Amino acid sequence: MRLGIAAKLGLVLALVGMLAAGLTGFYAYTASRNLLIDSAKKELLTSTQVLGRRILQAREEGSRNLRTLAHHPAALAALQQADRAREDELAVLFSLLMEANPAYFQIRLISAEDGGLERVRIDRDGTTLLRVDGDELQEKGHYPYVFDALKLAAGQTYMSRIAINNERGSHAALGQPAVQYAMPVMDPQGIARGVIVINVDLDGVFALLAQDLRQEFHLFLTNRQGDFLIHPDPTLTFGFDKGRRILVHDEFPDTRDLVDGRAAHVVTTAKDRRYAKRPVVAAFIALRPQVTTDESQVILGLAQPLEKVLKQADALGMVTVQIVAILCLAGIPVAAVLARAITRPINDLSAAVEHFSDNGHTPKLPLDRRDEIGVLARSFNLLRNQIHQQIADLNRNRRELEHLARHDTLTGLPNRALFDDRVNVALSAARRENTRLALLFIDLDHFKPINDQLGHAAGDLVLKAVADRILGIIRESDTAARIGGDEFVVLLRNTHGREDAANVAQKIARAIAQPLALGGQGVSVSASIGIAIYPEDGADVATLSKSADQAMYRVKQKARA
Amino acid sequence: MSRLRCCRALLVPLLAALLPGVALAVDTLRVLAWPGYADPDVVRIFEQRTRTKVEVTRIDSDEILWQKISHRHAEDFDVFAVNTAELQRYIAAKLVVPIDLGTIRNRRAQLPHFRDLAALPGVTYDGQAYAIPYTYAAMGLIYDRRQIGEPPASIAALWDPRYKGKVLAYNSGTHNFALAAQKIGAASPFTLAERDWAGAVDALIALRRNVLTFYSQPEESAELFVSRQAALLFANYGTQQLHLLRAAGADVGFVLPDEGALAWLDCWVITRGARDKALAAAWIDYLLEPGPSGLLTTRHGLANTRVQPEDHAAGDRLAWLQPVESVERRNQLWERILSGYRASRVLTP
Repeated sequence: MRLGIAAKLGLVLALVGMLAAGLTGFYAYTASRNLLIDSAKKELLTSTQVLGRRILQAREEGSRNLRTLAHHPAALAALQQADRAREDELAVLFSLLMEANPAYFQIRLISAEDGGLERVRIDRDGTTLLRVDGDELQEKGHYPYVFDALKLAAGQTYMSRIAINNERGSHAALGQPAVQYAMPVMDPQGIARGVIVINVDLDGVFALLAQDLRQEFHLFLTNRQGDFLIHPDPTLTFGFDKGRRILVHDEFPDTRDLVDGRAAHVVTTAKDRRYAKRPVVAAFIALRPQVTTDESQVILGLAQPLEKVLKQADALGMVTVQIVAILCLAGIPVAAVLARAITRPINDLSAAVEHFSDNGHTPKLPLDRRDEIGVLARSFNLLRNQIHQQIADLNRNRRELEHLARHDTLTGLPNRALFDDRVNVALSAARRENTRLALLFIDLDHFKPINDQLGHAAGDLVLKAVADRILGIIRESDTAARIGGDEFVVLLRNTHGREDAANVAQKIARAIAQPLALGGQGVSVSASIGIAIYPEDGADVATLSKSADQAMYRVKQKARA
Repeated sequence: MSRLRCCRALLVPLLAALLPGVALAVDTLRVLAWPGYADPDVVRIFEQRTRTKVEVTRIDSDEILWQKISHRHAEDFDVFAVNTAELQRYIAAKLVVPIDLGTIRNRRAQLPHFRDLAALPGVTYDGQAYAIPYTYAAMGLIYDRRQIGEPPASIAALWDPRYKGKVLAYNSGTHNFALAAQKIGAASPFTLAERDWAGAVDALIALRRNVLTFYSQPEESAELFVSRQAALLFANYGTQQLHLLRAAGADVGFVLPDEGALAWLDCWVITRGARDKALAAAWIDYLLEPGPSGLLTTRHGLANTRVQPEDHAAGDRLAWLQPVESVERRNQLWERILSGYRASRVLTP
């Protein structure tokens, strides 16, 4: 039972401890998981914005290159008159630029005349650069990068729509996603005589820009209407070119705000359809090219699988689980010790209650504690002391009563009942040991006159004195008793015979006969003593008593006679 | 009224039992139609009138139409709508059957050039009529009234140097070679003779030099027309573009060229698998009534065969689209022309 309470309390404490540790761990994990997702979203947005700035920078670099070429004297010279040397000079310049910029598909000088005839053209063809010349040069006047660029002021950049380049004979660029940047070449009168066009490989430029992005990042690019231009699944890009629309806001519904121009950036989590198995977090930003273009905005996005983000959270979760486990393990002994500490004083109390009646053993009580248990212990101690006191009183009273029941109140000698017991015990011993014992029957002579003349108090004093004198004669092992008003009996154990007993009886008679000073006057009493000897005069108390009584009467009658 | 209906309800099964073979409510007509051709309210009236059930399946491309009809050899449908250029292969594959013109009484209300089936390309074969014209659209010219005072009469306006850099043409090999054929006066816009190719290519190169650009989508054409102040537009999408431009605030007119505007014509045809050809013919006859035909125009902006559209002059000629001699060749050459190939290189193999 004592163990039970301690065990139960310990178990409860341990469970509470585990629950607390578990809940704390769980909430810590959930909170940090959300924090991780938030920070991953912020990081994604930042990465997207950095990428966006790089795109802007790349575009600005493109503009600088265009400006260099458009302002090069050879460009205007080649446009104003067919000058082979000037064209060659430009071709070298174009080649150098294309070598430096692997994402350039093509650089061309296109005339405003002759239906927009190309004058100088370098194409990328696999790994080599190819100068397209002679009647392979094409007329491009009906393309916006010519007719729209021709309307620009000097130094202004035109950017085309991002589209699949379907222009036949464009070598590496054919069938590829591309964007054209163009700038007019002005004569001194400010008339555009032609344009410089740089054809940029969209995938190439993004491969370059995104090369130091993390491996798990997926890149998205859409046009202003949300049609995918770059997507991890290339079959979903340029859907409009194949007669179907594949839109970013169908895949990431939150990006509708971007497409509609209501937001500058959107961070979202996709868990449906395509991402049902592998949810992603994604950040999208709107980029508005600060150049003349029909592509008034593009949407750039980066997505990261949620599982990658949560991998860190999972590691954290493992650490949390370990900490919780350790806490739980550590909690068990702590709970046990705590349970013991709480239950020990209770156990002490209950031990004290259990050993309440064992007077010898009293377990120590926690009397010095200042808490409820201390109060309980002190109350119990008080109760215990009171009970002990009362039991002691009861025992004392019982002993007194017992004494009274077996003794003569006046003389303090055993009464008849006790005397009979002793005689019986002595008879058993005598029978066993084959010894003798003697019973003396003593009756005071002429006691009644003393009582009548001197009063009961004096009579009592006489009886007391007689008892003392008998006790003064007999041995310790002998017993004297008062059995009536002035009748005494004496048991003598191990007497040798009648002589021996008569000897003792004589001594007793003499002692009793000594005068007694009583209230200033001498009083003397005498006693008649009858003797019965075991086994000669009887074998039991009754017979022996009767025999001694008769002997005493004979003595008394003899004395009267 | 209700008593009458009650009597009829009792009579119909009775008659059905007594007169086996009479078409009654048990029949279902399986229709394959383009959006807007068989609206639910139009269908409901036909169902009530004929005490039949009509199952309409919608299609939105020629390819899907061909798949559905050719699959199971036209057993799954009774009647469908198809354009005259596409119809040829259905006739060749014997997926459609001739129509008994006597059962289509409402042909009488059609405009004369839709009644004369023999004059419509690809509608008759071996002296028998296979299709009943239902709706059509013409590819006219849209012009800016502020820049062009007199409506252009000829397709040659697209080549007019006065409008250089202000013309918008459509990016399509088959249609542009048809235009070029009209421009050079070839016998047929759809079948170029071998001697015509060089001239057609030259004409398209000249067109390329005269246009601002070539568009693909109707919305794109409207945006370019307004933002680049174009003067003339070849309206491949017909009046749809006219509406778009007018909605964008442009002051534009629509005209069909004298050479005959390229036009597609959708007709109803009956399949060889039709379970009840009389019911299929009744469906076609019903759609030529003023109600259904009128809805085609008022609700969907499509021309019907009963009333001359207000954008078309009475004498306008339409060049109904027909299968061309080689889609591949037209497209290959067109891609080169569009890419800016010079004349000397376009026709080199």
